[in-house]
Amino acid sequence: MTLSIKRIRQGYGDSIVLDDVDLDVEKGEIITILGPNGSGKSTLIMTICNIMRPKTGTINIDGKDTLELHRKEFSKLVGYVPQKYVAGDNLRVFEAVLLGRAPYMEWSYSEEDFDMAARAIELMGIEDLIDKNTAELSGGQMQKVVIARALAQDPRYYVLDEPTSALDLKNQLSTLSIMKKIVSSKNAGVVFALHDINLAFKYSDKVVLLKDGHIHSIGNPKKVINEDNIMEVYGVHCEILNGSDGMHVNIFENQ
Amino acid sequence: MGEGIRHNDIVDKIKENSSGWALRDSYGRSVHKKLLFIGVTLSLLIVATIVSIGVGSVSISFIDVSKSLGHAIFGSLVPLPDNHWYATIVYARSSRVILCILCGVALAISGAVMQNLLRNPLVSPFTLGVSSAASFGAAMGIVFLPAIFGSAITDSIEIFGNGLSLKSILIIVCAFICGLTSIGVVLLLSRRPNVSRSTIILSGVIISYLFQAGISLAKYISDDDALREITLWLMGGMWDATWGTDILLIPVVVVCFILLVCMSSDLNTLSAGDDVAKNLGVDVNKLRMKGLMISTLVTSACISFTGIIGFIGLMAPHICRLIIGNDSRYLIPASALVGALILLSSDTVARMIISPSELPVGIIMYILGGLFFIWMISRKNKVVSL
Repeated sequence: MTLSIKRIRQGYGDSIVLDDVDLDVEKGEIITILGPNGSGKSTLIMTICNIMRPKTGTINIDGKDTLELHRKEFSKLVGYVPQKYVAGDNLRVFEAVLLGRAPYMEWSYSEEDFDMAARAIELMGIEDLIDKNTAELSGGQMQKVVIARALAQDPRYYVLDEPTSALDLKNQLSTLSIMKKIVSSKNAGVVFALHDINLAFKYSDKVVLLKDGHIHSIGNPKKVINEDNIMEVYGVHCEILNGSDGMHVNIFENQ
Repeated sequence: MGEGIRHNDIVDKIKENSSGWALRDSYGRSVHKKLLFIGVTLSLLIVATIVSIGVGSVSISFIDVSKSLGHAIFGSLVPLPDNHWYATIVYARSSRVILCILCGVALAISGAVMQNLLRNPLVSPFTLGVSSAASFGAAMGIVFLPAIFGSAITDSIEIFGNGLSLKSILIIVCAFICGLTSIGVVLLLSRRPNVSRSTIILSGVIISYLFQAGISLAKYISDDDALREITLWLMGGMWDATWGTDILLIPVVVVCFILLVCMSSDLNTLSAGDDVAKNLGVDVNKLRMKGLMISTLVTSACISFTGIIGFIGLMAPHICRLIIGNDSRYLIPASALVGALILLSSDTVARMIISPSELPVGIIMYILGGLFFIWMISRKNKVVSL
């Protein structure tokens, strides 16, 4: 049971952003994509989520070619949490979360739609917000609503583009923990794009280092995140510390 | 007393423990509010219709109009009013009222849909250049058609028992074709991949300027009669209403309304942003293309007959967004009703102010719309967003 990306080439117009990218996401696994700005993280994520069609290459889920699936069928397999939420939807929070049921609904919501949305709201702990207008929410609250929408979508794979960027420390940890819980309870696969190497260390089963549209290295975080790789990909010096609660990365300013 | 508290505690616990219950409750309440709003607007529209038919050189009482309409719809179940000839007047005046309703519906639903599609609250058929283009078509028709066709232009054709002069038909065709051209150009410009929303809006504005230059040119080279005709057309009014125009327009408006309502679930999804909507299974580019095309079709069909009527496409959806929110499944029908109500009331006022003469309803709409627009932006951060 895998989401398998093979030989993906992707770009805007004539410029190629991703070239020859292969990636397998197993169920029950968290994969983190790391890389500097412009390395193609967001493009890779948008390709996985069927937001951009790849120029060449295939995306298979459980052996099925997803490029041949109907859009709505694909939506039931892969859910997307954007980096930037759209501000001022002017929807109530419950309406915003129910949008996640779009692939399942025709004209009106079924009992199952309400149940799934309610469970997502409960999981994200935003019961108090459901009657609020999304324009009134703080950045952190909005992020939770957006994740709740993806949970309501009930896909088999979740793809989150920098899900922690708008959150404070506590909410960063709780959001990643929730995703971890979902991975184990629903046996879902998760792909994060993150900037924070320490969070990647702590939460991922596998790390992908992207550089200039190619996969630089891939594998266990302890193996992939080392001084040499960080230097090669980001161009900064670092040291890896082995603390009592796991590994830490300490970044130095370049001299 | 103690028992009461315990009972409330239990109810609270149930509420707390089941967000599914709370969700259904919130959803149910919001739907009731929307349906209530639609119901109230519909009733107001019916009242406005009857009042509007009653107003004129012969004024007819509310009850007599109701009886005549009832007789026309339900046959002998409803008796005719005591003055039987009232029914004839009611029939004649209805054509204008129906044209008002059709135009109000068309402009309001296109406004609502275009705002959602381009996720910009200030978009309306006019922002995208449809009206300037249609005006240009009409102006060109007014100036050049007599020269091309000579005296044959004044012949009239029977449409469903009503005479329409060949000239006015050709002017309508010109306006319609140019209206469609404008959106064609906008779509062509926006076909390139990953085009931004602001590009689409900007191309609408530019097209609008181009056509306005054309209108100025047409005015400059036209003689006095044609100039007066162009000016009147640009003001917009319902004086050309006949049952012939109504019967031509009804199917267009009804079909476009149904098509747009069918798109409303996807329009809702689009409010989460293009990327999320694509992931949620919406073919965003196709939706945008289809939606803009249908809205332009219905808009240019209507303004071809009436001339320019501004601001309905902005006002009606906005009032609805303020009251019932952005769920397109309800917003589109509600906007349709509110648009019809505003235009019909304005037209009635336009007929009453300097009776027995009348003002072009376009002027009233510009005053009303201008004031509304100022009010809307002066609410600062409370501008309804999408």
